[in-house]
Amino acid sequence: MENELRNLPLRRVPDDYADRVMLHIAQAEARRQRALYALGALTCALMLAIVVTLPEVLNDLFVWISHPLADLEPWLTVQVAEAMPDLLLVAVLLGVGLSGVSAIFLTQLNEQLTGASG
Amino acid sequence: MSSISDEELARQHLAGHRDAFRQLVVRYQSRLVSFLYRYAGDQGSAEEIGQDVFLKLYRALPRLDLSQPLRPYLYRIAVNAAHDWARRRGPPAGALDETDAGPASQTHLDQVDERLSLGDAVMRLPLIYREVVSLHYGAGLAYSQIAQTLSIPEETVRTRLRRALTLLRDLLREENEGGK
Repeated sequence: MENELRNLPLRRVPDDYADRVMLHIAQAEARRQRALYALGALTCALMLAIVVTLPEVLNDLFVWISHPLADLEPWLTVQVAEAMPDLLLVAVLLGVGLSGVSAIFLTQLNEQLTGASG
Repeated sequence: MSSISDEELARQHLAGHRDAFRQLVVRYQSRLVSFLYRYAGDQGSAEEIGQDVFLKLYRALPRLDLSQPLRPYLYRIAVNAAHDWARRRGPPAGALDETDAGPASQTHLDQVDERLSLGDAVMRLPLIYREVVSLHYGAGLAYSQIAQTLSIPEETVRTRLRRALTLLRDLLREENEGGK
C-alpha cells in the first residue's frame, strides 16, 4: 500500500497554469510596490510637516503656558523662559530623530523593493 | 532541466535569471495542486491556493537559507495557505474538520468506478491523517520535515502515519466488500 500511495496519480493542471502563476505574481508585486511607494510618500510628507511646524507649535505652547503663569506667578514665567532654549534644543533633536527614522524607513523600503523585484 | 536542484534554481532566480522561478513553478505545479486538492476538495480552489503559495515563496526567497532544502519550506507555506483558506471559507465546507471525512469524499465516491480507489480513500481520511499521508507519500518529506512543517513532534507524525495506514486498509476493505 505504501508504494501505491507514493505512486498515486497527480492531478493535471491547465497548460497555462505556470503562466497564470507568473502573471499573478507580477500583478501582486506591482500592487505591493504601488502601496509601498504611497506609504513612503505619505511618511515623508508627515515627517516634513512635523519638522517644519514643530518649532512654531512649541512657541505657541510656550506663549499659551506663560500667559496664565504670568498672572499667577511671575517667577514661574521666568523659569519657563529660561527653559526655552532647552525646549528648542529638544525640538531640533526631535526633528533630527524623526528625519532619521524617516530615512531608515525609506532605506528599508528601497531594499524591500529591490529584493522583491530581484 | 531536472538535474538542476530546487535550491540552485532559487539561487539563479535571486541572481536575476528571469526563467528560473518559472521552472520551479513548472516543477512543482502538479504536485502542489494535487497536495492542495486534498485540503480544498476541488480543482479550482486548489489551483487558486497554489498561486498564492508560489507568490509567498517568491517573496520569501530572498530571506531563505538556501543551504537547506527548499521543498519542505514550500510545503510548509502550502499547509499554512490551505489552513488560512479553510478559515476564510468557514466551517460549512468542512474540509479541514479533523473528525469528518472532508467535502471531497462524497463527490469523489460518486465516480463511475464502484470500487473505492486508494486516492478516494485518502480523501476520506480525517484531515490530521490525510495531511501526513500527503506530506510523506505525496510530497516525499521525511518524518522530521513533516514534524517541522506541521509543528508537531516527530513521534506524533509516526503515530498518525501508522493510524492512517490502518484506517486506509479498513476503509478499502469495508467499502470494497460492501460494494460487491
